[in-house]
Amino acid sequence: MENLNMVIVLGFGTLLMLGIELTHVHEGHFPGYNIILAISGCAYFITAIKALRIIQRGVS
Amino acid sequence: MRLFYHSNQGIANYPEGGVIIDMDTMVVPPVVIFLAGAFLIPFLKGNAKRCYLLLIPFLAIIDLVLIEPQVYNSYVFPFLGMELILLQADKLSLFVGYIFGIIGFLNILYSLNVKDNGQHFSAFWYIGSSLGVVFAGDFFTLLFFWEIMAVSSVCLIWYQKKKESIDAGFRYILMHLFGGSCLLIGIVIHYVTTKSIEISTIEISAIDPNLSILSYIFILIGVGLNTVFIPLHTWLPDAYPRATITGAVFLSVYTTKTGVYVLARTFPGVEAVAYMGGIMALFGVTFALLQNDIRKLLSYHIISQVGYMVAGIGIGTAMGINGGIAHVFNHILYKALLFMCAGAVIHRTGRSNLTELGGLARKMPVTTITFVIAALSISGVVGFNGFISKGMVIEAAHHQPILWLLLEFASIGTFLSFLKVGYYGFFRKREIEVKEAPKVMLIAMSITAFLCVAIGIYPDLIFSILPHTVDYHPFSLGHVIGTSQLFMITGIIFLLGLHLFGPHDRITYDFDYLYRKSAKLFLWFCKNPLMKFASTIDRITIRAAGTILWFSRNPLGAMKHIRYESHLFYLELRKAEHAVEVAIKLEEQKVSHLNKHEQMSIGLAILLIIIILLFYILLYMAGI
Repeated sequence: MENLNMVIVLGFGTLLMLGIELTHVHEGHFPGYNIILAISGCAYFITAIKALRIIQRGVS
Repeated sequence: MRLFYHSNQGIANYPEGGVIIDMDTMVVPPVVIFLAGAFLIPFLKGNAKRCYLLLIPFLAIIDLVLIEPQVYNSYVFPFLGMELILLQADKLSLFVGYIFGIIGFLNILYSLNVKDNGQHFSAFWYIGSSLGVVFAGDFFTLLFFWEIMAVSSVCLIWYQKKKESIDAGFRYILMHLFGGSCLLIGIVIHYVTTKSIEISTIEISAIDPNLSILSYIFILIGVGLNTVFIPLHTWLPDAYPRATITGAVFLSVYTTKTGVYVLARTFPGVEAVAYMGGIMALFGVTFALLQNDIRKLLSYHIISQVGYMVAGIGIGTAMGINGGIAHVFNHILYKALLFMCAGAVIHRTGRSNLTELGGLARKMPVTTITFVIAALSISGVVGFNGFISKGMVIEAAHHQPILWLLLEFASIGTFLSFLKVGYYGFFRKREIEVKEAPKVMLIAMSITAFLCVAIGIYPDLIFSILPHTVDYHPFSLGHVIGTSQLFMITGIIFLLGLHLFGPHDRITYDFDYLYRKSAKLFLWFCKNPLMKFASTIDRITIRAAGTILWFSRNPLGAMKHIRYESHLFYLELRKAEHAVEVAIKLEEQKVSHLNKHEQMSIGLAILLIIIILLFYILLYMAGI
């Protein structure tokens, strides 16, 4: 049940995001601009969390 | 003390030795209301005390409204040839004063159930002294209230009455005394170079650049410590989570925001400050993501959000300063609300770690709703107050790509962090027996949440009182769509990688690890090499004193002793036969040194004195 909810939320989110992206491009913005920004931001935080945990395990 | 009244026309011709009060408005400095009002608290009980606690901030808000937004000086105290100004108001100080007053009222409402009079007293002095800093018309008055603020705020940590809180309080006050000392040194040098104590932009003067650079650096360090510049920030995540539940709510508002206000007065438009803001924004949120303790996590978010304010001020344009100052206003509201929610959770569950929390959404619905509002506000989601001011700062940073990227990344991280708190603290399934927060807490939280939404929907509420004219349209289609899309993708990534952001109950180290290591190294240096050096010096001094004493007791005998000693050394080198005779004479001299005083003939004594005098004259003439 929980997985189904997750799939519904993700599916809805993806569709909404695509709709917004189309509007954004229609407004004259660079396509995929915010997608790249969000993905690179999240990638930075995931890497930073991993790296800091490894460093902190070393000093403790 | 004599009182003299004057109108707004000027204060040039007033008799010496008196206090000047502005007659046109007849307002009281808000600081006086809180500082004086605190003294009655211990004498009141029950509902009378509750009403009184709310009456004082209410009076302060009325007083603030009566102060007109124009530059004028009143309550001027002549002191050592200078004019100390207790009340100087312009649009900037009034803007910050309003939010300090409003949140002071709400925080006191939240803490009405606290029975400890000491906590209320400290809180009143803390709010009062913060307002004292905001309305101070000169650097010395500012410094005076700055120090009161440090002392009154540390009491809110110590009132938790746990060993870890007392230790953290000592570290907090040590850091603030260091910052205060830097500020004092900077102000004194500034006064020496400019002959002025007026609070104005600090610049490096061409007349005396060396001294003014020193003043610039010291004032920046002093202000930067309160504004949690990296790496002077360690006191905040160390002390705030260890304060009392209500104390942490007060602490989250005043110290850092007073620092931002003073920064806006003294260092607007400094590029290095802008980049420091960007670093703070990203650093704070990165460390917040590592935290397990909910109040420690929120403390790191203070660093991050103050980073936005610092960046705005550092950019220095009208948009940047407006954005930074508007963010002070909005941040105070949602951060106080977040600390209120965290306090309510800790108050009811006795737990503060995300690993131990969960399932609160059903048991504490009002707390959950207010938390969600605060989380959306701090993240800068459309329709909440953070969206307005954060958007202004990011817009102002548009021409500085690195700074802009730092702020955008920090924004993504903030949303991730609050998705984590929301999920692990409130929404994940977990059985927990807990009641909703007390009514007074809920009322304070609901009013604060309402203000977050109201400003988010109708930003003109703050635009109309900002220091500069606002030329910003937060609800432009591009901004709304761009922000929504950014958060939507971030949300999807969070859901996909839920386990990556899960809380851990490990201790996380910050720059304080280096400070503690350095302190240990310093102590080792004091105990070992420094002490050895000191004891060597001590031993040499004692031996030298002993030798001088030995010599002065029988100078001729001592000289004879030295002669025998050197003679014996020479003979032993040559392995001469009569060395034994000299050794015997030396032993006899050693025995008789203190008993048999040698006498010098008068002629020889005079000759020696003349030689010494001649030597002294030669030295004198040589100019040594």
